Amino acid sequence: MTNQDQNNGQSPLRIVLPSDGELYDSTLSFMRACGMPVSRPNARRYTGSVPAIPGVEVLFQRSGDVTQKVEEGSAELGVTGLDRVLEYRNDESRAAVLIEDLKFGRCEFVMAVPNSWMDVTSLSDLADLALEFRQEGKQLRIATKYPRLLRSYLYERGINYFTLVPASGAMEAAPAAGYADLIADLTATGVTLRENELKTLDEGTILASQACLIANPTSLSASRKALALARSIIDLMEGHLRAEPYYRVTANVRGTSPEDVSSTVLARPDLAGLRGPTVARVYNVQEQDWYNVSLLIKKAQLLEAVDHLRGCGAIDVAASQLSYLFNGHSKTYTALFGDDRTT
Amino acid sequence: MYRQPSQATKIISRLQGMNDLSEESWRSKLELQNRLAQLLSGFGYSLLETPVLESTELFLRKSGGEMASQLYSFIDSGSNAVSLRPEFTSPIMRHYLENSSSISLPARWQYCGPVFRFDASHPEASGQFTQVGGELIGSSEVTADVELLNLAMAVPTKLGLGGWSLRLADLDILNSLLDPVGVSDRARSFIIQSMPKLSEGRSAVAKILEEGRHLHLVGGTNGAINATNGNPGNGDSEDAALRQAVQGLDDTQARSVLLGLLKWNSADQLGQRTPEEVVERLLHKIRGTDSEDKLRQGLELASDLAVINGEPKQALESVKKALSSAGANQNAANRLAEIIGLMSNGSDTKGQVVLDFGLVRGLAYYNGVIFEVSHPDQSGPLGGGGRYDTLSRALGGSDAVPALGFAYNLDSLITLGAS
Repeated sequence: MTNQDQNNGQSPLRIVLPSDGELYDSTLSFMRACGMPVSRPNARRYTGSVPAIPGVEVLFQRSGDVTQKVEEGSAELGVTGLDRVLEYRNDESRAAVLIEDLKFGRCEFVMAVPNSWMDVTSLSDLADLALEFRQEGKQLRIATKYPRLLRSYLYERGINYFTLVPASGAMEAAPAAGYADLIADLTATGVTLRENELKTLDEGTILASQACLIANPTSLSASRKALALARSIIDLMEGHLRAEPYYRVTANVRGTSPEDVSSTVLARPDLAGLRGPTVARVYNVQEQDWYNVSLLIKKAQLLEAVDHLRGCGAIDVAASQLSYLFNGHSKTYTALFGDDRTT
Repeated sequence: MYRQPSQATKIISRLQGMNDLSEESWRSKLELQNRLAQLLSGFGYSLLETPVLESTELFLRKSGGEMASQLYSFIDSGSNAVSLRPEFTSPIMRHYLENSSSISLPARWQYCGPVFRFDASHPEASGQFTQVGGELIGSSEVTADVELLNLAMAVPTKLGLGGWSLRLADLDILNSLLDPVGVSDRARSFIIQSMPKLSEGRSAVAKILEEGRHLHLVGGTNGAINATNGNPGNGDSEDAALRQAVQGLDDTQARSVLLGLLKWNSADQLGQRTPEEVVERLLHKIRGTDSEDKLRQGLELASDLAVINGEPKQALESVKKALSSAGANQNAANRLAEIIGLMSNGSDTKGQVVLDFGLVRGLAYYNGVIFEVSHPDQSGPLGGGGRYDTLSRALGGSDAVPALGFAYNLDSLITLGAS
């Protein structure tokens, strides 16, 4: 095994990915889309590799345990839901969020009450009710699997009279089953809540979450090799995320000079690419004056941009998905580890 | 989240806010402790030691307010939510409720021991403190208030401390002032917490009203507010529809319409609530009881009270004036006058008593008399206390048991040079 550190037989860089639920599939397709498909030789084994970047070992752990694995140094990088990081993290300096939004795994951590509580529509109603309960010597019981996030959310809003009922899984049934009055749970679509006759509250969204990349800066900084590998991973992820909203559009435009072509295209600066069009001469047998125009266009603006190019006299308009869009340097990486490109 | 600074070397240092005590300090602390125990015993307060660790629930139920967020709280290996005690009042009330059949009232208890508070936003104020105090359970008499206040004044006197001042206020008076306005309980507790700021007078009202809006104290129940920020939530349109449905009906008719609607809807998932409770609150809400005008009016009246600060007998006259101009009940003020008349603040006590309605205590369970003792050489309060007649119910007692108590920070008394 050539990828091993001389120390204790570990790979130079370990990244821990979720092994359970929707995050498992979505993380693997994200890695693929970033050009780092994960190879997992056996579905029963909890390790894998990234053939595109030798030296990277993949560990699979339950999404709720990813933060802890990174924090304790069992892995240098990790991908999991931001909600799980904020709930389970004990030491921010050992589990820093590198990329907060990987653009998948979206969900909301919300509070929901029974539909039949017609008088409760907002968080302020709930605060009122908590006080009412207390005066009657009753406790407002909230079932949740994220007590830490929920508690601090409620405290910050001056709601102190409640009891948390620890629960995991199928807690939508808690009010009907009678072991809690309301719930705070993750929802992506709200369908399960509605089917269980629960409704969300105004101001009752505790957190909007999605998948994120975390790192243990201490253990990363300890190994140069790990740092270099981490930089490759961050670069590919950021490059992919930056490219995702764009199409590369090319077209052939007839004109008298590059300046002439570029000024017609630039008449609509909002459709003229990130920093303006690239214009290059097309050499053809007819010896006509054709120029190739190349642009990056926001996906939502594609058809508008095509029409604009047609208006400029374009033919052969091609649009393709961009794989990566790299910045001058990775802001994320530099913010955490400084600029070491020269070292 | 606040964390202890990590250790650079291999030596493990003590936690912030936790101190070691040398034999000399320990002996002088013990000696002080014994003298105070003697003092309290002389008043008939018997010693009670309660556990350092209690169920978290105990402290959440009553403390509320800021204390709830200052608990050293964790889950033990048996998955129980437990906390280091942040104060003694609720453990002592718990002791009474657990043994009430064998305890005759009034009961008097004294205690002394470590308490723990963790304040993430003020790490320097976090840690372990020694509290000494007394609780008088089972009397609503004026004489009980007087006894406790006299005892609280006797503590610094006994220790030879001069120059202290005891600030006194009465939440029942504030409540009688607010009763005619008819604000919700939540708005009421917001107003109580705002009393220190309201002591600047009516000029402070606008800013506090803004905070109230921010906390959604008037949101949802007052269409005008949401119309101004142009962002009404779903709940508001729901409420508006219901408001229309009961328009022109009297309360009885409206109740039966809403009850019918609720039962038709789905009333099988109400949890601990009855359909009648839901309807009652709903009616209260859609009839717009907590309008912004009411909160403003409540804050204005409270500010008239909050500015009162001075020699008790004179200050009481201002209190009575504020109450009568608001058309409020004078009973609470008369009761306080009686207490003040009976308090023995003789020349030997070396301290002063002031009536200060800008005072508020960190714990949310007080009613009636509240007080705080401070000293010019000490930044925070030395001690304080008050009446807490609703605590027993909050802790699950079947009856309201009138009670009151006080506590001092023994470490602060020592720092001040008590001898």
